[in-house]
Amino acid sequence: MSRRETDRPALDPFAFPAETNVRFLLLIVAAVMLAVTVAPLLQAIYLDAIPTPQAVELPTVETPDAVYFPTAQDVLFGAVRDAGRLLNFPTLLAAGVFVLALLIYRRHPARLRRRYGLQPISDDTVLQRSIEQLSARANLPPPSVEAPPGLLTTGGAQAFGLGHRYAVRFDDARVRLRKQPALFRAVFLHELAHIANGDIGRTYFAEALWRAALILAVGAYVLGIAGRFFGSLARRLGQGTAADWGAFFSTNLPLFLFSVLQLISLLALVYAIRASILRVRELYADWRVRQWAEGEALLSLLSRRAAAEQQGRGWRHSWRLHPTARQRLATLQNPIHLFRLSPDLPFFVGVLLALVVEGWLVPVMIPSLITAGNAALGLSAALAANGNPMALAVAYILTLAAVPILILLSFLAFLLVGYLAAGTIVVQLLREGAAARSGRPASWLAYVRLWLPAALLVIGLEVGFAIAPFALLSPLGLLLAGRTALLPLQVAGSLSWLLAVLTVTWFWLLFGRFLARRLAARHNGAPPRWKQRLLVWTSSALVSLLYLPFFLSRLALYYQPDLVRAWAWLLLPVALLVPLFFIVILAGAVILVPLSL
Amino acid sequence: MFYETAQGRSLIVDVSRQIVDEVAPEEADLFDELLAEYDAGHFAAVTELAESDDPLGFGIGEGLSLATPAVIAAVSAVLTYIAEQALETVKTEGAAAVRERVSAALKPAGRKTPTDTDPALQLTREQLRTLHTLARQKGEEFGMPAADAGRMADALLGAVVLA
Repeated sequence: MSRRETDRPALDPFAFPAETNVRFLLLIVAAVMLAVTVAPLLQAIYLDAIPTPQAVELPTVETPDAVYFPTAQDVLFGAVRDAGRLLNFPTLLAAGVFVLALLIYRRHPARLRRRYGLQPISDDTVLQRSIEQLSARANLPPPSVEAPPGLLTTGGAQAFGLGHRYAVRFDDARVRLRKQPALFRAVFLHELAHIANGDIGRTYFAEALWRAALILAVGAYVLGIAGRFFGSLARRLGQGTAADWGAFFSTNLPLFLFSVLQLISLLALVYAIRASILRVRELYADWRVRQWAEGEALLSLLSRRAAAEQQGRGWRHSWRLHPTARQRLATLQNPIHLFRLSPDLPFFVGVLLALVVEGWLVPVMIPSLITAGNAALGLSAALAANGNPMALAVAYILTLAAVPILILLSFLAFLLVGYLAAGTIVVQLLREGAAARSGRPASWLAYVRLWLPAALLVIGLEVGFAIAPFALLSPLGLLLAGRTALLPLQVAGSLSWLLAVLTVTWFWLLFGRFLARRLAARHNGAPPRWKQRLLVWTSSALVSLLYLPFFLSRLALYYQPDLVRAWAWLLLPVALLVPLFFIVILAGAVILVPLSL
Repeated sequence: MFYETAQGRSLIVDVSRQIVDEVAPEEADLFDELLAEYDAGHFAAVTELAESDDPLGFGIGEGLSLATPAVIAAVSAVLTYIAEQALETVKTEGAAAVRERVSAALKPAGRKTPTDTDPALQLTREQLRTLHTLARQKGEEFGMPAADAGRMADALLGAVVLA
């Protein structure tokens, strides 16, 4: 064996944060954003209150006397009002979705037992002995093995349970053990692998979240729309008034269709992320079976199923809840597939980043922080008015601390947005770094190819802006709202913006991959967990800093039309200068720093 | 049908158990439970869960072909055929006599009484070939691989001829 081969570390997918965790984070954010998006629509339907961007009040110092010299009562009422601002309808709906999801999740063992008529198999000593042996091999306590009544031969199996009380549904366990003992071991170990990988709770909660979102958000929306439609129809028929078809076709119908399209897009996003979690977990469980030395029977089964499987590629793959036998076979034969940044991940991240910025950060989080800041300033003013030297000192300290703390808090909120990008994409770059270390030699082409995930992320951003509530940061929103005076300029500005963000994202991915490779090289494949976390947080901070001016400029582009008109001539030069700036930095780094990219 | 009479059912079960012991000994300790499933009609068709499994299930479930239901179905078909053939040739002797002769013909050697010694059941080569085909087809209908179905048909024919 050559020295090069012996130097190669074995690829261990479990040496890195689980990919199911990464995707689970995306699902949680997607579910929250679904609720946040549906909430204004529900408000409009049920409460006749149509929230618009103008309704989002940014607190201003209008009456200095009242603000700087408030009474204790004013401060108290202000605090209650600020708390109310946080407990708004979108927040309550998001909380409702999570509470319902939790209830559904808690009921999943009972639901499965009822659905399949599961009963524990306790009178088969041969089976019990085998279960104990296999559980010992997996270093897990033996779970309860349950099956429907009778001796089905369908091969269905799944692990489930709450806390550490796990059970495995194995429809034909008794027959399978006797007829195909090797396959029985492989399937049973695959289910144990889900327990060992710690994905049972996350995936069943993901399922519950999907159901809760469908029931609460979409169910309420569909009921409300249907109620509105039939109510209006009945009123018109009762009053005999003529319908204003012109307004209906030119305004009402397009707006309604657009809101339905937004809802469907968001549902599709949640569904696709949920499906990706369910697919990814199977690949990792299969790999764990291989680690436990029962991969041969699984390979044989997958080969048979792959041969019988119909070819299905392209976009349809995103909707499958299970990986195909071909994919599972390919991954089991070569784990490199578990170390790749799949194209759906940056796209999902892009969409969610836009949704978080447009649907939560701008209308909810930042105004809440500013309001809280005003309350703090008001409190310090009240203390200063007291006249007591100690109170005066506290007031000064409070005033001095409030502003930087507010700025920091705003940035922390934005840092969380950065974590959404880094915690998902950089983790996969870490895996890629480890795989590159063990496989082909480094190539600068691998860095160039990162433009593709960068482009997917940027496309996702634009899609996210279009499907966020009221599409305030999208040309589509302006078009539907009839604010078309500056539309060509804003479209041109958006394109320039996309080009600049693409460059910045690519630069950020280069940084992430470079550091990931360096870490992998230093630690022979898998760096320690704390270094992995450090890389993720460093990348989060970097992407937050890089994106902050761009999101602010996007806000200016759509919220400050006068500003856009005045500085329109700057759009193209800036769009060209930004990529140039980063390319110069990159070239400088390559030339000046002797690093082997 | 032959299987629906008490004597016929008992005979079919005995012969099936003997064949299962020979072709699929791993199913022997589940024979009574599988027989109950067969009687309940759970093995009427080969089923596969595969794609329709729970979203959180294994996902590539593969149907498992069992020998026991196939053997019971094949033995039932073969003995019914023999009974019908016998009925054709000994119409005048009545159905009860036919059942006795078929029973005598297939009773395991160790359990035969002196009155069982003359089965008076003569099967032609053509009829034996038909029986073999019938048994094999039944096996395949129940999801048995062709080779296993052929082996099962051989064992069943052996039981008929050597009885």
